[in-house]
Amino acid sequence: MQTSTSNPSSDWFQAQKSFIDETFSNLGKFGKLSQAAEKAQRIKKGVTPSEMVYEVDHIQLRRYLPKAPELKEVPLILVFALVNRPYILDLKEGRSVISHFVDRGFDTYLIDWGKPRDCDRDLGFEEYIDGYLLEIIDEVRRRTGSEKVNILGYCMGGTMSSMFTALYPDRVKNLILMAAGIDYSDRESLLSIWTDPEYFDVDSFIHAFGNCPPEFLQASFLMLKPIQNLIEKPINFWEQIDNDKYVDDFLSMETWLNDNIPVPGKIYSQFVKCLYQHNMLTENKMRVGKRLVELKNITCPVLNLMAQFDDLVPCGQSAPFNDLIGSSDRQSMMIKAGHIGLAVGSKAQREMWPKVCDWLESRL
Amino acid sequence: MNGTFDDLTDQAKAFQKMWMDSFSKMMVAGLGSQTSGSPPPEAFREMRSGVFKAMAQSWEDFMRTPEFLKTMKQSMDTAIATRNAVNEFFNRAQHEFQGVNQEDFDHLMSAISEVRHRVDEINEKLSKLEQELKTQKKATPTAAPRKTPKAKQPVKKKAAKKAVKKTVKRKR
Repeated sequence: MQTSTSNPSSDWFQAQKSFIDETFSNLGKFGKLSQAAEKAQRIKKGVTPSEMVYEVDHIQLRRYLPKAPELKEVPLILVFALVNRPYILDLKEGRSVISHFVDRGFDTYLIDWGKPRDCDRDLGFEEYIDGYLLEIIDEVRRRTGSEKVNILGYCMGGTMSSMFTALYPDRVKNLILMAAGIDYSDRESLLSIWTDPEYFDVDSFIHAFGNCPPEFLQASFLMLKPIQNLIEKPINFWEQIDNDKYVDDFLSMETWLNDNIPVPGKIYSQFVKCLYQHNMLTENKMRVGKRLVELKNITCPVLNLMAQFDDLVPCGQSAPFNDLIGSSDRQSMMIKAGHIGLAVGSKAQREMWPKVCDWLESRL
Repeated sequence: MNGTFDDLTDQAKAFQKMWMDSFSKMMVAGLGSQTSGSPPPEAFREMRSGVFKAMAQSWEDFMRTPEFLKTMKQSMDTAIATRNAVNEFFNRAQHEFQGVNQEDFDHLMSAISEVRHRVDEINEKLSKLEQELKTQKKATPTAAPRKTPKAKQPVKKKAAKKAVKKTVKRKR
């Protein structure tokens, strides 16, 4: 007589079998963890060959080695945010924004803002926009002999680029903004709520910490989607650990996400107060040093790129930009992606960036 | 005192409500998304995804509530106070050992930045002056060319010799 536990078709037997299978599979995955850790050590930070062509304080200007036989006359400068490292724009092959431009013959430069030191806590918009950015853009103009440059600004770098273009319109040929926060009147995003002056005293915070600590920034970004970031992501990784391509992508992204840098105290405080709390840019009250930033002074062609599911800079903060400027040639593009997906997402890589290159090429 | 206690109770209630909402939504999502036709791992994944979605929504709603914001402010205030205390301790300790501390460094940096601002201001004034001079120069009509002064007649050698002799006689 056969009992139900030894009968291969019984539920009990199946449950035991799947439990044992699952246990062995998990043991195998543990072995893969060490391989993944080794892989993580070898992750490249940027894949397109480049050289450092200019350096000022802790800031470097990198030029990407041209691949196309002929270079376009007007150079392109990528202005990244001060919050993270800029190699997300050149994350890996097939996921590089920079390679799109290099392949199409744009003379491409990237500003690496570097890691600010404790003594850089007093660097604000004035020093960054009227100082470093102006100096670097003039250096590129001098090197290339081009009177104007194209600028692509990402996130906070986009906000800074728009301010620069408003202050120095004669130096900018075309402006491309990527998820750039401009209008903070909309209190939809969690960051806007968390930075409300009633709950966040940014001056006391910066007085105590000097620069804004990277751990604080990272925790804030993680908390925007705590369930996704802290629970779903690790589970998905565990399940996909046998999938080499998934693991490669995951490790590249995680390496970048965890490679945080501090933000100079003064500019962090100015960003929170002038933009998040008082929305000065759209109200024409924003000053860089003594000069008023008037967005209507921007008259060059503008392309505004937005991500529909951006939780960091929602479209509501970027879209109004096109109505505030003086340009007659202004366009927007929106894709179904998140803040980072706008740069490295497969849809952005496949569909959006070739279109952006076309847009720029037709305006040189 | 009562106010603080009430605040704390409100916050605790808000947390409790958030968790209860999460769990009830998880249950609904989990049961609702289970389809009889799909194989067990796929059904499980669907269920899990529904649960996470519900949890994420609850968290997002909760993180917008005044209770959460108050808790966040309290923890920020504590972190700032702790950091200030640590800074103060190190400043004092370094002063005791006559070392350079953060405060000294800050003073130095603010002095440098003040000097830099003053230099910038002077620079600005100078460039304004330069601009004014340039516009003045452009505005003034082109003056008639100046007469070049007549070149001095070269002193004749004989006359020069006489003059030298006279001075020599006077000295004698």
